[in-house]
Amino acid sequence: MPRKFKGIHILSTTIILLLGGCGVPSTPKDLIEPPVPETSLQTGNISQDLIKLLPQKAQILSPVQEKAGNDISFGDMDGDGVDEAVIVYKEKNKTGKMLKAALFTLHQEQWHKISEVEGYGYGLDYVRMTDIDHDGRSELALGWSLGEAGNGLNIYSWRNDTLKLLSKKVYQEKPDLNLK
Amino acid sequence: MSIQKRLVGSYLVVITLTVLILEVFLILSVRYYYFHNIERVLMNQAELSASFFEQYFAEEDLEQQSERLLQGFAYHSDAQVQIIHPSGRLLQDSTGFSSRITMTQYADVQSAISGEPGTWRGKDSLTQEAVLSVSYPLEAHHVTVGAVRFVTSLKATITTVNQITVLLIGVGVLVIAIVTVLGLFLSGTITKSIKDLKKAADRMTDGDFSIHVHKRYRDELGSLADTFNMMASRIVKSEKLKNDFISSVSHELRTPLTSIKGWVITLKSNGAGNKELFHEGLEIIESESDRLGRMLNELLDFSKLDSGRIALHIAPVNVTELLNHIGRQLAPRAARQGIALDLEADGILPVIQADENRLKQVLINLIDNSLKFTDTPGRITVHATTKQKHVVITVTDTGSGISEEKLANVLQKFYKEDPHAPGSGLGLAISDQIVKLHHGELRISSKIDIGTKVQISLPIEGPEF
Repeated sequence: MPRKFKGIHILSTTIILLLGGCGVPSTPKDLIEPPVPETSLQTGNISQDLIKLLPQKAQILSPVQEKAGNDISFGDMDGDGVDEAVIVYKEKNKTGKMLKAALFTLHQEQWHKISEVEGYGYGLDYVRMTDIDHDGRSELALGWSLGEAGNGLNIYSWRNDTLKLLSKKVYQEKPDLNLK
Repeated sequence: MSIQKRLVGSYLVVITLTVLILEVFLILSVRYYYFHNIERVLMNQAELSASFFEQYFAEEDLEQQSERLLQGFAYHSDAQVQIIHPSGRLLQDSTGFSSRITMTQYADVQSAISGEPGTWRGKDSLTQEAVLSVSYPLEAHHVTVGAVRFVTSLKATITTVNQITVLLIGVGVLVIAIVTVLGLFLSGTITKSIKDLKKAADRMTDGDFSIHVHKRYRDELGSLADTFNMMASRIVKSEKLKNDFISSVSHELRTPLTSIKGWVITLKSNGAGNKELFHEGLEIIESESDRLGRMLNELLDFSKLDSGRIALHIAPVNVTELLNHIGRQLAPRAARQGIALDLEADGILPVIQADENRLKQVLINLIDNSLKFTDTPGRITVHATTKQKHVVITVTDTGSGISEEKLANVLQKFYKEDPHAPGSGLGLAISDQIVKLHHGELRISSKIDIGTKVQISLPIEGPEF
């Protein structure tokens, strides 16, 4: 870019930043999101309770492999006999979209978010809470997708009040839930 | 330059400037918005691809899995995707140019290979198109093992931005055109009124005062048109007053002159023997000459007052003495007409700063007027009092009174209620002027058949304060 336009460029950037408050205005693509009916938030079902705990503009993802549209997976990760819940969602931030998986637990009839892990790739391919290492407690398996290049499977277990990454591997069609 | 041209010109300057500022801002914003967003989308994609690579594919050799990786990286993107070896060698290209060329001449590739994301805008050496490229380092265990590069042609973007630019400029030109037409129309509403006024003024300069300016709008120019019309009618009226005055003054001057001349002829033919007749003739000639002299003095006074050449000789004046003096002077005439002349004063009147002779002239004139318009038996009261640093002298008569519409004109010069009545019609106008020179005020109120009340108030301190 020629030097004489650099001043104008900086000036226009400044003006846009000033007008936009904090940053470039959202692109049309960023603004597409499903409508959230506000009244339904009062209903007592679990999914609404959990959605309320997510960040405001979060968009819940369904795994590609399960067409049934199971947005929430349940499984007992800490072995107390009560199922924990996992929701995978997309959150917009300054640089783009972040994939995240949030783990919730039921404590005194109230759901609380206890942990959160970051996701990779374009979207969620697979999510399952099942006992993989046969220790009586469920593990969390998350399959992130990068399209044709393949998918990445992360398996987490609940240890010492935190999600611990047990294994990380690539799979193509179906995830291999064995730890080795 | 005409007002219309100036008005339209200034409208045009203002709107052109406004449109220009807006256009520059909008066009720059649109350009920035498009180019920045494209860069952002590519950067996000590159970042996403690189982080996925780091998480899951870092174990394998980049070159061996490059074909599969390319499919994944290009999965959601319409851009050209390239995978580059740390040496700068092109490993994979989504458009299929897998000729093993080196890419190190591009700034973004250099930056990515050294570990930092980079962007580059320029001309593609192969297709001669303007392109935007974003390169992102692919890392395995914190070591850069290559780079992923997203390239997009800017041809369509530039076309779109240019289309929007043309559209914006078109709208701007349209706005300017509309404002110009509106400006012509709006300025017409002003200039038409002004042209009307100018035409009327031209005709007045030529001496035609029978004009009537058409009032187009109820604005400042409309009220100016009203003022013009009023001015013209006032000029016509004062012209008529002046003509009446000249004819009445000529008449007034002729009456004593005729009488003088008649007596001169009588005395010339048979006044030599008759001493009594001779004496009577001379007496009449003397009094008629005095009358002429008084009238001429009045005229002179007035012209002096009118042109502001009169000077007051301010000295302390004892109002009580002045009133007594005037009373003594006019009592015989009042007695002759069978009218009672009363002088009253509230308490002791102060000594005021004024021109005694002029003040006397005013009072005599006022009482004289009352005597003229009061029939026998009548009463004229001159009352003096002190009020808020002013001496107020009121002359009240039980005369014929003045009607309301004529009351407004009595202070005007040359005005006479009856054009054939004796006098110059200047008395009250002169009195008013003299009182004003003293910084005082002259007020007249009157009721038909009941009488007239003239009130003059003069500041005790005189006109200097």
